[in-house]
Amino acid sequence: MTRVSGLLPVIWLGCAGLGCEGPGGERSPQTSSFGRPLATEVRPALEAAVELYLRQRGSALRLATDPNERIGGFIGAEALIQLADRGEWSSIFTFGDEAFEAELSGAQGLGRGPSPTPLPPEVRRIHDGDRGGLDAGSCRGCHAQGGADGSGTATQVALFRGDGRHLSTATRRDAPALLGLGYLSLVAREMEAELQGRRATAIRDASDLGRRVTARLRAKGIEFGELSVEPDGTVDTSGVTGISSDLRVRPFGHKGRFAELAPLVDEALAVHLGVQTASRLEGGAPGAHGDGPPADPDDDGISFEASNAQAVLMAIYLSLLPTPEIRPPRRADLALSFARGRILLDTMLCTSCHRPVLRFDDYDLRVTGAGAAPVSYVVDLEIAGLSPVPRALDLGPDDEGFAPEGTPLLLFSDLRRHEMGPELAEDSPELLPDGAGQVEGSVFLTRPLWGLADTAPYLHDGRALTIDEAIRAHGGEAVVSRDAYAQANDEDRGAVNVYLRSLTRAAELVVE
Amino acid sequence: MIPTRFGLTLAVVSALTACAGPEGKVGPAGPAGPRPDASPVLPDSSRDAAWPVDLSPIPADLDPADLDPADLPTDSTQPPDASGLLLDASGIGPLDPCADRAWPPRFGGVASSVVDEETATRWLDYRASREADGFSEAADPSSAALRFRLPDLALDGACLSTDALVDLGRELFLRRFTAAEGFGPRTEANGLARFQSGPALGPDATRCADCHWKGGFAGGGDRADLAYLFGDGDDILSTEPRNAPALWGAGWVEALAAEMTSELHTQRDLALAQVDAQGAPVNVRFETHGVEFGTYWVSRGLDGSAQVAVPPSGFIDADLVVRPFGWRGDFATLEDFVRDSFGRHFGLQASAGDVDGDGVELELQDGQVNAVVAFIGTLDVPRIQVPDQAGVFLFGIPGLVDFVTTPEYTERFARGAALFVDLGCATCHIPFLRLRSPRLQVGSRLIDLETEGARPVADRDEDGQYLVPLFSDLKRHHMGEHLSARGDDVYLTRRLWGVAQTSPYLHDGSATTIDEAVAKHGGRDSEAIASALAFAAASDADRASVRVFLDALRRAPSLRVP
Repeated sequence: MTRVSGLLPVIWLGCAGLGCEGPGGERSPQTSSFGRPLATEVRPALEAAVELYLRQRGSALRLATDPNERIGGFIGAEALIQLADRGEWSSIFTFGDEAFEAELSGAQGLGRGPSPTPLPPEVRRIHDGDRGGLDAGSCRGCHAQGGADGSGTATQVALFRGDGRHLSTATRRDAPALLGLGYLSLVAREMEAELQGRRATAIRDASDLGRRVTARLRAKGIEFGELSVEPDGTVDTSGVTGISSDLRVRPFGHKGRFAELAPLVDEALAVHLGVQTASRLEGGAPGAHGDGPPADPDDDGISFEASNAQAVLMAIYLSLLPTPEIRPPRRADLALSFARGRILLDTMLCTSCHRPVLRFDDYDLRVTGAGAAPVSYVVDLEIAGLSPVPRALDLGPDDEGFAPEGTPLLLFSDLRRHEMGPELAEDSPELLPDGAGQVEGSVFLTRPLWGLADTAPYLHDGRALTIDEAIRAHGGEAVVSRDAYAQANDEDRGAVNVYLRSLTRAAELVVE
Repeated sequence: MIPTRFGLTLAVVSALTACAGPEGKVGPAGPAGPRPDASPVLPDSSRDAAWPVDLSPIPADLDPADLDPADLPTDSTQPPDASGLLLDASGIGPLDPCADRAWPPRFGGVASSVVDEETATRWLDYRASREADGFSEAADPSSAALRFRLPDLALDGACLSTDALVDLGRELFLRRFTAAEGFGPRTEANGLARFQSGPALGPDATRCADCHWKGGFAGGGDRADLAYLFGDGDDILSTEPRNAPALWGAGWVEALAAEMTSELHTQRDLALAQVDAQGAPVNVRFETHGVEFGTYWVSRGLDGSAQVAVPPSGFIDADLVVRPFGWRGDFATLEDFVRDSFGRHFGLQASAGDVDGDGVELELQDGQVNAVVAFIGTLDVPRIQVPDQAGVFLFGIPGLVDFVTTPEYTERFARGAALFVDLGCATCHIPFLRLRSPRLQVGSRLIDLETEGARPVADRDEDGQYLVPLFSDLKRHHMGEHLSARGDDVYLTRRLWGVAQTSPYLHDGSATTIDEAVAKHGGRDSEAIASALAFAAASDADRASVRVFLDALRRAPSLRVP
């Protein structure tokens, strides 16, 4: 990911996908009408790409002369923490970018030792329980499709929680694209605050009124059922839907596994690359990563493989990434299909779960690490985020006199879990990492659809090779929408597919 | 098409623009010079493909809105029949295949390793055209069929230029084939058959680019992309992991192998003449292009054929054919390699009849194979990127600070190169093999890689021979216990060009670093044991120098728009 992106014009759909050009001025005056930037724009992007290339080439040479320097070069060194302390996020981004792409080595703790499963490293593709495997050599190994920090390909589907040997024992997980996660966090945190607020209010009311109080759980227009509170403060969460009973909004992972990015990075490092952060040495259950000594639980001969700060800095790096974009077709007939497709998403009720827009108020993202004295930073994404940063447009009040508040995020998800039916169900539930219970086998988070076009294969296990297959595989709560799609005529199905193909990302130049 | 006035107008405009002839501004800017293939294309498919179009060449005296719709080219897409030949409207006779030049330019031929604004613009245009294709196919999934199932004859030299063939090959390299096109059969409910098994093998990938991406277009695969061959479909220990190699320079390798094979056969034929004269077998030393293939008895078999007594698992097969593709030296030509890969990884077979039982016959046509071969075969040569020359290769953008240029690395590079020879690495990883004629046979077409291939091409020495910097002897060797898989430790010397960009290393991707890869050469019964031990015994500084040298084995800086 170079710092210059958004080469091709961004058309923000102020008129919600009706195919119109949107309020004047959104199309960059710098771009020609054919989707191609003028020469003046290519050059800075090219220079940025070349700069990144030279930096990577320089790193490769330094690395060649001293493999152990990789440790210092990996994000999280003392100097970087000082940069973070000073809020120099662009530097953090630069180092994070390099760390994301860097091929790790055994000297950095890549991989696991011989115990307890004596399989050679080339056959660690299937995870051995929660210990993970060794299924990639870098983050980008499974996040490069469609561009830097993109999705994984069908061959890169991760094989979680198996017996280390047999494909049939593993849980397949498609690697999602990583753009826009910082903003997703912002929305999730605000929704969560709303829900927790409603619970707090209910507890107070129940106590004040001395009777059972039932509160409807609603955040940013999304319904999460209800909870009841007894006067003594006992909370009955049996009516809570689409979210764990702790009311934490977990927007990451196909099943809504993580509420925040730092623990996600922490787990990914541990299970995919065999790199354990300090928090896993302190708090990990014996044998969780292997039979090694406490400082080297995975028994690969490298102690203290990563600090908690490293996971935090990588999470900040991810948070700074730009959002995907909507890039409608330019040919007139397809542009009309696009517009029709957007309306069909509504009439087929796809958008009842794949909510087109969620809004957030505050750009300040808090990223907190693990451990007893966690590292924590607040990053203002409005300033530090890479373009395109979502922006609020003052469009004035709508027909009914309301002006929407907050910055719209066109993510096409309600950040809620749903029952998806027996066809998609997995045999066993997934345990949440923070002890907040489990998610049933047939329950999945509504996948945000932004950036969809560049992220095949689809669905949690990558079983759908096309968007069409993915839609048809929906069941459970989505059965009405699926049937509507399946029974539509070819032209309407085509229109839906045209619209979904427009959910993509800005072009970027890569020199390699 | 939605029958609106606007939509109709646009189709007319596109059709007119597309028909503008060789000088018409259709699609991405191609290389300078006339393009023999760019003469009229079918209007309906060009409408799909030739976006973005420049609307300016419409003659001023012709207002498309005034045209009678009845005069317009029809929008119907003629479905290809199973034989791959288009039928005319009556359905009786085949059309002149050259009348269906339905493949308009995309990228405009080979993609050279050039970093400048023009190339960047070409790549950006290419992405835009692929987006447009994606929308067309989304609106009408059958619209791609015509483009990707072209009649074989239409791909022959008479109809398409090499540039156009390469463009089509690139599209096929990036294409996710559909079940209707013969992908599969899919045997797993929840994804791909990631571990191969049985006669159906996969499918274990959705497209070539899934596993060939690292280091750039058509590069290598990551550890996550390993293919698992020969297994039972479930147990990883039953499989043989295979690392996807980078494909750069493959055409040059095929040309080299063909030349070597031809010379070995000449030597064999000369020996046979001697055998006939003497009436007794003769012992012959086979050597070509500076590579010694061993000394073997040559005789005539009972059926009169040539018999060369090459032992099993020798440097080469007894038929004296150099097979440079596949980790164990499996395929002599890219065509064989492409056919195997399409069948193995996607379930796309070239055979007549439905061999894999997925209801689609003749899934892979010769024309498609040729296109993919032409694309892979014309990829650029990864030349040695000496550290202090990095700035030179980037002169398209003057004035940039060159981070890389330091005398230290240049020194180390030179020292590393010397050590590479001294340690014995270069005995098998021969830096250059000399090629006389860089020509690649693709179907009936002979592609001259020097003039038609991507830049950079191989340098020429003073005798006019091409120095192909592949760092291999194209022989098979016993690699010892550490590299043995399923009891077989024989592998072709891996070409090292591009090694800096294509970790993990070795056939099974088991080495993350150069040091690990070298160490694995040092097993019992390995022909490379002396070199591996010498490397391990070298000083830290010397090993570092070798690594700096190997870091220079990479492609020239190349642009790409993902």
